[in-house]
Amino acid sequence: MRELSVAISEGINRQLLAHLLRGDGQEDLAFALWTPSDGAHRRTAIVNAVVLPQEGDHQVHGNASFNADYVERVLKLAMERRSGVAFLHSHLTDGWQHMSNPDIVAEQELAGPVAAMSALPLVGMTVGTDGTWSARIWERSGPKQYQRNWCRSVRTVGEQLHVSFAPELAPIPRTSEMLRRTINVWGEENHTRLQRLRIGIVGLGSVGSIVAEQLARIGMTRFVLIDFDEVQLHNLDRLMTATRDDVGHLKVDVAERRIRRVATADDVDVSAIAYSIAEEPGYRAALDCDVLFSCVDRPRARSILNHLAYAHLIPVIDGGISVRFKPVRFKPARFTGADWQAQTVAPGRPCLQCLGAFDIGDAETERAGMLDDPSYMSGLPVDHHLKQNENVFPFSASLASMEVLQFVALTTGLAGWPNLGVQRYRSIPGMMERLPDQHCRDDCPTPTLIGEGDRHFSLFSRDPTAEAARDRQNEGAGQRGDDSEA
Amino acid sequence: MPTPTSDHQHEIVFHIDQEEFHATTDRFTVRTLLADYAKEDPNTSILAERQGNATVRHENLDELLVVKSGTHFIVLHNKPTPVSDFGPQRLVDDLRALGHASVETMTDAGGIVYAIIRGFVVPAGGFAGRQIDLGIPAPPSFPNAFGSALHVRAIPQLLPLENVPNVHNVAASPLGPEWHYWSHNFSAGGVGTTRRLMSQINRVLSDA
Repeated sequence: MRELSVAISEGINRQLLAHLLRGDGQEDLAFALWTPSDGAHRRTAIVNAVVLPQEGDHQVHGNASFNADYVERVLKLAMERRSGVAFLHSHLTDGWQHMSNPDIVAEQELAGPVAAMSALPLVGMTVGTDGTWSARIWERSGPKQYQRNWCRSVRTVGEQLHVSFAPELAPIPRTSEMLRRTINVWGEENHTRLQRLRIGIVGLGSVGSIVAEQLARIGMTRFVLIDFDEVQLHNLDRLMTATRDDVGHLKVDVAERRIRRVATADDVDVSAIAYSIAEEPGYRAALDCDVLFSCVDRPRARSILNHLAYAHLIPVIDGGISVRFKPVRFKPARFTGADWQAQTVAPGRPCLQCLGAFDIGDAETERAGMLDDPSYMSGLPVDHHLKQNENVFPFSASLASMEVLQFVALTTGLAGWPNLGVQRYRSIPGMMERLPDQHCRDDCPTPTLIGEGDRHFSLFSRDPTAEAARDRQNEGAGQRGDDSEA
Repeated sequence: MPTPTSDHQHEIVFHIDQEEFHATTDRFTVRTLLADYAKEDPNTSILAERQGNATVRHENLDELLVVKSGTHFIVLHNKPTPVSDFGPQRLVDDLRALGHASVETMTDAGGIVYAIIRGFVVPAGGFAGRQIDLGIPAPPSFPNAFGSALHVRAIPQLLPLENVPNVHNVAASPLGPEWHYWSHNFSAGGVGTTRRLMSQINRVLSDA
């Protein structure tokens, strides 16, 4: 059975808590609309609009009850917007909330009409006085029968990522002596926040392989590794997880082996996905994640990750390296410096496009296959940014550390500082700076898609680069006489 | 038609949304309730009957209902898909709204979709007055994303296949051998994208 989760943007969460957590010590209720975000193994209900009760819609009497007119209004809205319906109410205790009998009856009665009218199952949610959400989804199990399936987690996404976990579905993993010094730094509570997250690393090259190593060593337990490429000789000066023996093997397989070898957690769950994030298997694997690391060097993948950060509420930690050269007549260009930059994107923060991390036209050029067309590329000036891919290991190592620290800040709010902003290291003169805080441009379309999932469009299709890589890999396997099923 | 018959012996009273209706018969087709009572288009709306907290849809317009007094119906609007907000159809709709009558879509072997304006007349410059077919990439997230090339089909071709750095980069087009890919970085996005794209395309063609 697939895993279930709920995601809420910080803005919607604020609106809900302001209504549900009353000052008079009584419970309250509300409805909301949601849209599905379907990964390979997880469905997330993204709550993206609140439908608060109007006068006469509900009664508050210690507990709370709703009237049929309210349900009718919500169902109409859900049909018009082609959305699902979520029923939310508050309890007067802390932590993950279970359900009382009246709660169960109320949701069971709603499950049928909601499913019939919206064609999506009812999502039920309860919030405790500390703002911790619990959630379940009522799936049809037979004629007029609906079964309650608990969500593993509820994620609130904004400046900080807050995740509440169902204790039965996501128990706190045991930690070993190996992690004593790590936990001494950020504390047991922060560590339990980190270690149950499913973390996606998109791109297992120089930066991604070091991110994987660091996360495995600090005790992370759930990994999704997405990369279609294989290890090649020219990677070995920067690829932490690979040796000469790995040439020709998939980068995700090499990274998976390394994670299992160095992990400090007792149990690790690693999925190796040998596809591009622009292809459906890679895209859906990314939708299974709570946080994504963008360790890619091409614009199309960044544009997709940018979409996932806002439309699907999966925060993305991104980094990039820019190496500068000065042209010298009749000689090789001279190295003059390098900068690398790390940033986290999610609702409430500027998007990758507005931060200049990718150009949307370049992403479409790549989608059209032109970046792998030698005749097209030869027509670009020698210093064109699409031709820049030089790098050395220490640059990647430094950037990977910056990205992992952005992740720790995002997920723990370490020392009260969840947003490290846009950090740039300038190798010359050798200084780190935090760039002035920015917002998306006024005409940026990204914020308009917050929490919308793929209601309007999906960004996966074919990826000519990944297809060419698989052809190359199959050819290499044939020459080595490998079993093609291996 | 609904008639106010408040003192009739067999009168029944029912509601559609917030409106109260009185009738002397208790048998109605779904179509009658939608068209004559609710004044809704039966083709774009659905009649649903409230039963406690549940709601039962009546989707067969010819279904004959026996309506009891106190029955409460609601009308759900099953609107046709609106003009696309995103993607190739949005670009086609925008181009037609800008006065390009002959616009269609084409898909290349890689699955990329283009809006094609047939018989586009180059407005100015050395090729002014030439009729061409103009292909504009139409990504699924258009207008949030847009292509970085125009595709030109002209007989004879306007420019040869050649790369002249910082001048032009004309390559083979995936639309077929009669088409040329003209690389160009457009600046657009969001509201007014199509108008701004066309303005830049006109400039590229005029400067060629």
